[in-house]
Amino acid sequence: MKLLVTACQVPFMHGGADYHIDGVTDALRRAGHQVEQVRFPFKFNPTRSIEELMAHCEQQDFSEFNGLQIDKVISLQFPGYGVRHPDHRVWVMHQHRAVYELFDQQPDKRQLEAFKQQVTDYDTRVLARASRLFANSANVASRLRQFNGLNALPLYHPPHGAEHFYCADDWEYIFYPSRLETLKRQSLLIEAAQYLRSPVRILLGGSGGQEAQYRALIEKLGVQDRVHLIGRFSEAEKYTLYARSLGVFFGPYDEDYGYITLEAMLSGKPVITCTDSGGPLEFVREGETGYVREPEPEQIAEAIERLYADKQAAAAMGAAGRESYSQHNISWQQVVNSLLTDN
Amino acid sequence: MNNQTTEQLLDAIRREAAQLDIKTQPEPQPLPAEESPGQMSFEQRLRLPSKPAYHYREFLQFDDEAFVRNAFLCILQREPDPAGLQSYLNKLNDGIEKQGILAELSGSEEAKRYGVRIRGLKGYRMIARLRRIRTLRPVAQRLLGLYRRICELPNTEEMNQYRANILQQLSWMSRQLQAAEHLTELSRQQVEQLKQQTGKQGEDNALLREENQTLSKQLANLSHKIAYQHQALATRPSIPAEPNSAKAPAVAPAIDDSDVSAFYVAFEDACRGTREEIREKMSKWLSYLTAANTGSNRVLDIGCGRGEWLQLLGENGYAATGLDINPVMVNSCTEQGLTASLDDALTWLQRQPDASLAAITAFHVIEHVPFELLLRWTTEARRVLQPGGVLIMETPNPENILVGSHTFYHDPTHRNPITPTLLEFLAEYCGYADSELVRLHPYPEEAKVSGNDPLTERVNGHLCGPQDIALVARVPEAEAAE
Repeated sequence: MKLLVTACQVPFMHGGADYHIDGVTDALRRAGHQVEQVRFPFKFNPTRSIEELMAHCEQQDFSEFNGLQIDKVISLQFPGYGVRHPDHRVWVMHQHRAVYELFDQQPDKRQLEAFKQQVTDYDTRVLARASRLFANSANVASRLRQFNGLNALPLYHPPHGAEHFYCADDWEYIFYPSRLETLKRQSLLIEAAQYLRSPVRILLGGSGGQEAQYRALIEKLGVQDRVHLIGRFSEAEKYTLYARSLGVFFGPYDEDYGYITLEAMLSGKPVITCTDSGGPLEFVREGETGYVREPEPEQIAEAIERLYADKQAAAAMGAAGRESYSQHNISWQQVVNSLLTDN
Repeated sequence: MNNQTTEQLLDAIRREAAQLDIKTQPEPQPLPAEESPGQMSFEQRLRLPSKPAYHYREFLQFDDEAFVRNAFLCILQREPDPAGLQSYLNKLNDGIEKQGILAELSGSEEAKRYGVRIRGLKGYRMIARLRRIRTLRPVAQRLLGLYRRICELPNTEEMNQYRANILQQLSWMSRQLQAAEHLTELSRQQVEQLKQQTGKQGEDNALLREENQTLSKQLANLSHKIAYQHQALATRPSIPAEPNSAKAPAVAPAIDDSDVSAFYVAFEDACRGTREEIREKMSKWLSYLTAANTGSNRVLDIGCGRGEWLQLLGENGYAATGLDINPVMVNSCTEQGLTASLDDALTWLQRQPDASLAAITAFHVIEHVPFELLLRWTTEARRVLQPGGVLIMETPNPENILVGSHTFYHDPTHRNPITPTLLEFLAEYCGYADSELVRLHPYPEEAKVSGNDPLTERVNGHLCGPQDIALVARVPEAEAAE
C-alpha cells in the first residue's frame, strides 16, 4: 500500500517524537508498504502561526497526488491530523498540551481562552473524521474523552533499543533519566534526598533548562554527596545505568506515555511514580511492580527506603515489571497490525 | 558498594557499558560537514589523457572541481585560475550543464590557440546562441531538454536521423535570427532617415509660421484701423454720415477679436479722461525713476495704450518702448513717432540682456492677466532691470469697497482685483528691495460723508479711499543682477 505518515517538524529540536515518527515509518516499511513522511513545520509562538497551520492542514486533500492514489494516511500529531483522506488513521501522540491539561499552568490564560476554544473545536471536528482513532497511551485516550468526547484506543509502542535492556545486581542508586525540566519534577527527588537515612545515591541523567536551578537546590539542601547530575550519557551507558540501579524514579506531572517506565520494566527494576504522573500509572502496580506515591518528598523518600530495606522484594518487583511488559505485547509489529486492520 | 565515591561508581558503570556488545544505533549527531571540493586530491581522481579531440561524454564522469580542472587542462592546456575555477563551480551549482561549460570553454579565444576539438557540442553551441536572445530563452530551454534526452539515447540509425533533424532545425532558427537582426538594423537606418526629414520639415514649418504671423498681424492692424476709423466717424456728430460712404459691408461679419479690440478702444476713450488729464496724472511717476543719465536710460511700458506715458518719458530723456496687444493702440503710438510694438511682454523681456533697463512700468495691466503670467513678468523684470532699476505696476485698489465690488467690473476684460498684500509679497518673493505701495486717486473731499468720528472715518476710508494702488519695487543697488 502507499501510505503517508504525517507529523510535525520543529527544526533543530529532536527527541522522543522523532524516534516515534521514524519508528512507525520503519515498521510500516518492514511490513512491505511504500511509506513517506509529510512533516509540517511547527512553531509554538505566536499562536497565530498555529491557527494558520490548522487552517492549512484542514484544507489538504491527501487522497491523491498527481494521479497517484494514497491508500491510507496515518497521522501522529496536532495539527497534521487535520488533513483529509477517506481512510485516515490517527494515532494521537498528544494534543496541543498548552490548551488542555497544561492550560491551568499557562501565565496568560485569559488571552489564550479564544485560542483554546479554537484548538478544542479543531480537534473535536477533525478527529471525529478519522476512520480509526488511536491514542499513544490510555492517558492520552482519557484526555480525548474528557476534553473532546472522543473514544480512542490506547496503542503502545516499544521504547528505542528494547532488546538491549538487561538486569544486574544493584549498585545502590536510584536512577532518573529525563530532561531537566520543571514538568519532570526532578526537584521531588532532590528534596526527598534530605529525608534518606540509607546510603542510597540518586543519579539524575540528562540536561535541560532547569539544570542550574536543580544544581542550586542540591547545594541549598546540602545533599551534594547523595544527589548527582551526571549529564548526558551514551546509549550503552543508559542500559548499564538502568541495569545497576536499585530502582527507577519517574514522577513527572501528567506524562502522556513515558518511555522511562517501560525501560525500567525491561531492565527488571521497580518504578517509583506519583499519583498525578499520568502515563506511568498505566503500568506501575502499587507494591507489585513499584510504588505509587503522592508528589511529596517525604513519601518518595519512604518508598526509596523501602527498596533499600528489602532488596529482594525490590528485585522481585523488578522481575514482575519485566513480566508485565511482555504481557502487554508491546511491539512495532503489533502497532502495524493495529493501525492497518479494518476492525 | 556504598563505600566507593560517586566517581568510582560512574567509572564502573562506564566500564561495564563499554563491554556491552550492542550494535547501537548512533545517537543523532550533527551531519558531518560535506567535504569541500578544495579538500579533495585531484591526483586521486582520474585525469583525461592529452588528445587533439574529445567527445564531450568523456568529461561527464567528473564532477565539480575535477570536471573544471579536466576541462581546463584538456581545452586550455592549463590549470584553472582560482577565479575561473570558482566561477565555473558556481555555474555548475546553478545547474548549468557540463556540456554548456565545455561549449563555452572550447569556444573561447584562448582555446583557439590550441585547437582542441570537443565533439558532440554542436547543438549546445547553437542553443547557447538562442539563449542569448531574451525572447527565445524559453524555446532554447525546451530545446536543450529535448536535445539532452536525445543525446542520451543509443546510437541507432533512427536516432541519428532524429538528431540530425534537430540540428537542422536549430541552424534554421539561427539563420532566421540573423535575418531578424539584419532587418532590425535596416529599420534603424530608416528611422534615422525619417528623423532627418522630419527635422527639415520642422524648419520649413517654422518659416511658414513666422510668415503667417506677420501676415495676420498686418491683417489685424488693418481691420482695427478700419474699425477705429469707423467708430470715430460714428461718434463725430458734426459731420453727417454720407449715405454712400464706404462703411462696413451690409452683411455684418461674425464677431471676432478685432471687433472686441475696437470695442475696447471705444470703451477706453469713453472712460479715460482727455490726453492732457492723463499726462498730468502720469507725470508724477517720473520722480520714481532714476535719472536718465545714470546707467541705462531704457524704459519698458507694458500696455502702453495710446502712448501718453511713452511721450512723457521721451521728453525726459528716456528711451521708452511700449508694448500692447491691441494693434489699434500700437498703431496710434507709432503714428506719433513713439516706439511701440505688438510684442508679447514676456517674450520681449526674455530677449533682453541682464540689467539693461532703468524701469519697467505697467499701468492697469496686471488685472488683465492670469497670475502665472504676472509672476513670470515680475521674475523676468527682476533680471532685466539694472541695479536701482524700478518696477511700477498700478492696478485698481480693492481696499476701496466700491472699487472691489463695483467699478473694477466696468471693464469686461478685467480678471480679478489684486490685493496690496499680494503685490507686496510678490515683490519680496522675486527679490526686489524696499518695495513700496503708493495709494492713488481717492474720491474728492466733497464726495466724503462729513464728520470725523471713528465710524465716519471708517466709512469714508472704505468707500471713498484711494481707488488705485501701485507697487513700486526696486532692484537692490548694491548687487548687480546676476
